[in-house]
Amino acid sequence: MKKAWRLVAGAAAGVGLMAGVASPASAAHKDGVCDPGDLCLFATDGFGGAWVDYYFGDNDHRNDRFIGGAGRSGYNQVVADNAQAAWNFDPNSWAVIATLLACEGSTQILEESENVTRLDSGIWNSNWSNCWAG
Amino acid sequence: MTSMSGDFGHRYTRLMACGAMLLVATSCGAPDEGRAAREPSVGPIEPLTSTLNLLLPLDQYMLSLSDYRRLAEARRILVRRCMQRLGIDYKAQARPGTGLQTRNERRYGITDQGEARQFGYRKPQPPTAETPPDSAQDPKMFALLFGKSATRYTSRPVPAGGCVGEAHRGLATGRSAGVEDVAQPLAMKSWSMSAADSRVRQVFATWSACMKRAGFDYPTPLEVLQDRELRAESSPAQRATAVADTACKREHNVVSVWAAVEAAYQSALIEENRSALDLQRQANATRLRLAAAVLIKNR
Repeated sequence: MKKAWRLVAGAAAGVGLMAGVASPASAAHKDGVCDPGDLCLFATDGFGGAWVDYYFGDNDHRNDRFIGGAGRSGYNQVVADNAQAAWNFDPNSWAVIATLLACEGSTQILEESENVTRLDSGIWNSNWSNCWAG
Repeated sequence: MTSMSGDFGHRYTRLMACGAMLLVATSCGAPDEGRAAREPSVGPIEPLTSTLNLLLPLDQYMLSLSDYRRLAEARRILVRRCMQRLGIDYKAQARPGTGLQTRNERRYGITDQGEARQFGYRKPQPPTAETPPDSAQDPKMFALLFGKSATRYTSRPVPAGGCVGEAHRGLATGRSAGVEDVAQPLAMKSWSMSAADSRVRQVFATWSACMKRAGFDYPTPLEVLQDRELRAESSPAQRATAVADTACKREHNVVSVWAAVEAAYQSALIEENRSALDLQRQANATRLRLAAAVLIKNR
């Protein structure tokens, strides 16, 4: 079983990952729960750190914080320039993480994956926005 | 109009400090010979006014946005077929799109004066609020899609990793499975290296002077790309800045020089990483062949 699914298994609702407080029928944007359909960014290079969940694209990570995983490394830190890993949890779409606002600059594209992807140092030092595409 | 945001990215601060030192050194007649020697040579620079169809050397090792679209479509078909096999009519929902047509379209910021005039710095995008809800959030769907907590469903076996896992395997078999993505990190590296290159900093300086004449104070095009206040919402000020930005880029060959310099860095990086890149290119080709077979079969 992959690490992601251990975290799923540890959540109360099964669908509401990690925090286990989400309604199983809804994935909200930046609600602190990494649900199917979200792009989740992590403060450390794996599932161990705090996270933020994006159901929609976001043009500016500088006003976002890692709001999921209270007590974990990076909790409440600003997301921009600090996200070391990402998980595209949308089975139908790919996500773009960019070094500048509004998905400009150089980019890392993430397809849906079963596990967390460590972000290249060029982007975790400077992740400023994300957007989705199918 | 101010140009420096309060939380100016530290990476760019480092780049700017480096670039400023190079410019000062050059103007004082004491060039940083060591640094200059490390900068790759660049051949004749062709005028480049649009980056929409720009291809850099590393692009041949990366999937294009249209490749990603084909792969995503094939994945959705495979997931849907798998779910149908389990007796579920699953409607896989594609996202509406980023507004970007190609990977390099906004690599150096805005270049299209028409877009600048109409939209400012923003790409026209479908409204995100209209993104349809994904049925993957239904607990039963979730379990079958991702292979959670069920090995059988109505007597039919659920594949390992669910239908999403099966679709993954269907698009990444044999040598294409698990190949490391080396091209995207290298392309990020080349972008940073080129933004700090002395020749690019020189055209940034002429661009900055041009912008100043138009009434906008930005040391380099990087700062305008990071101006939160300016870019918060479409406004006449944003559109005027974007129009001046594109005009100054064109007048001073900013994008031509930046792309040529970045291409030189990428060529050097390709030489250093050729075997890993070749492996990635082969894996990409295999995945696209598998996706094409799925798409053809679905017609």
